[in-house]
Amino acid sequence: MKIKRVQDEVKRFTRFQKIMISIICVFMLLGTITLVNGSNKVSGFVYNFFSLTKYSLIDHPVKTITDFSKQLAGFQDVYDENDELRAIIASQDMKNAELNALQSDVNELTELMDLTSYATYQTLYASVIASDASVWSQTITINKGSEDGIGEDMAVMTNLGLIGKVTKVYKNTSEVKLLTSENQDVSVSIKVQIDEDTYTTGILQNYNQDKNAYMVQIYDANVKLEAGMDIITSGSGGVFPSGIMVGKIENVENLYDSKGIIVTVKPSAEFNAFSYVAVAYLEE
Amino acid sequence: MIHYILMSLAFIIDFILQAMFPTTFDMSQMFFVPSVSFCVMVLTIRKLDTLDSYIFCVFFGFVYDFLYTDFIFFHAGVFAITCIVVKLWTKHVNNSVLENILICISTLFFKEAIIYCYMTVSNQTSIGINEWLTNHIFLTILVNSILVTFIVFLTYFRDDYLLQRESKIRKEEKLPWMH
Repeated sequence: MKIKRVQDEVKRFTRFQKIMISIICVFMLLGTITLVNGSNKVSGFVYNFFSLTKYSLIDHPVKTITDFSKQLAGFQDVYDENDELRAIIASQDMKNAELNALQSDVNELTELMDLTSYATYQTLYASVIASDASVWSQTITINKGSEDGIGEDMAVMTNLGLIGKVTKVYKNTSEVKLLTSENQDVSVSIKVQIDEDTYTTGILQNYNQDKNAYMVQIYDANVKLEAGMDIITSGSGGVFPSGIMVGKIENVENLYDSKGIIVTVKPSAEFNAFSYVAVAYLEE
Repeated sequence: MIHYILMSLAFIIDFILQAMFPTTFDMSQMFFVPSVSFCVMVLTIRKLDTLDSYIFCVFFGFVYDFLYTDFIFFHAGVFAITCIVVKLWTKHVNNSVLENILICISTLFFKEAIIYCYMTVSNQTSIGINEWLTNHIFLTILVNSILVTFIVFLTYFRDDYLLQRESKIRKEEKLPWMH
């Protein structure tokens, strides 16, 4: 007996389901390509477009309103702060002159010794337009990209110190991996000032979220370190410029091994919230 | 389609909350992760049939992965597991406000626990379970349970609208065999 198939009798998927499954397949394909080859033009374009649209339509207006209400509430504080800042600005000229004199000395000596200086770096300021909502990936997105001269591995800092490095660069945006991420694939070369003329070097290995501190390995096991000493970038390796504040020594755990000492360092930068960052790059 | 529109609205609410309460990357401080979209997803998949639920979860999992975080395929998988749990549990739960709130909060905790376990096993975090419960989960559950109350009523409105629309279609329907 011939069985006739009745039209629309058994349909495995509806039209809407077919569309959705196709979109999921496209997502899977795009995800696989991104996983294998890293970020590509399509994912970069989508991310770029989404981040900027979200920032313009939602984040920026909401932030403006909340900032305005905060400013209105703290109007008297702003007035007092303004007086203090005026006094600081008045003494700024003298400090600038002193700094310029010192900088010209440094430049002269660097030229004389034919050295490449990692202490002079330029900064490019950027706004934070997105951050990972669930916190786990420890990444932020800034509104400057390859068109603005941002490149991979550039150091990113706030006014308080180093916070991370640029990991992905798109046309108008960039992704920054924070130093608070535990799976850092970059080690930061650092130095500690022992006294006026002596420095000791080491490497920032990772961030321990349980201790809320960086774990830093100091190469010289015989050096005497104390809590409160400043840790700054050394510039060796040529990835990060030197002289960027990283943190202060919190605890020397006396875990002596053949490679040196391990110390815990309290970050100088605050990681609770930042809206603006500076990207530091070495002068060519 | 209306489920997808409601879900997109929930995403926008999440974005607004995120802009109002910026993320802290200092794990020693208490913070909350706005999860309105996740709660809407849980309440929606209760109403959908199995295939539609999985499509819905995986689709928004991918959206979450691409737009929100840096982990591709991760949330798509987590949301699919969540869908299985909700589908199993939903057979034993009624549609009252309290039960809906309870199912949302429990599933939210379950999702966060899966993510925490993965992060710990893959050595991406060394944060202890006490710190995770205190700093991450406590406020997330507390704030979201307040938001969920509104979301539950919002989904009731959606369900009413869908019922009305369906009854209107049925009313206008002319079945040839009846004549």
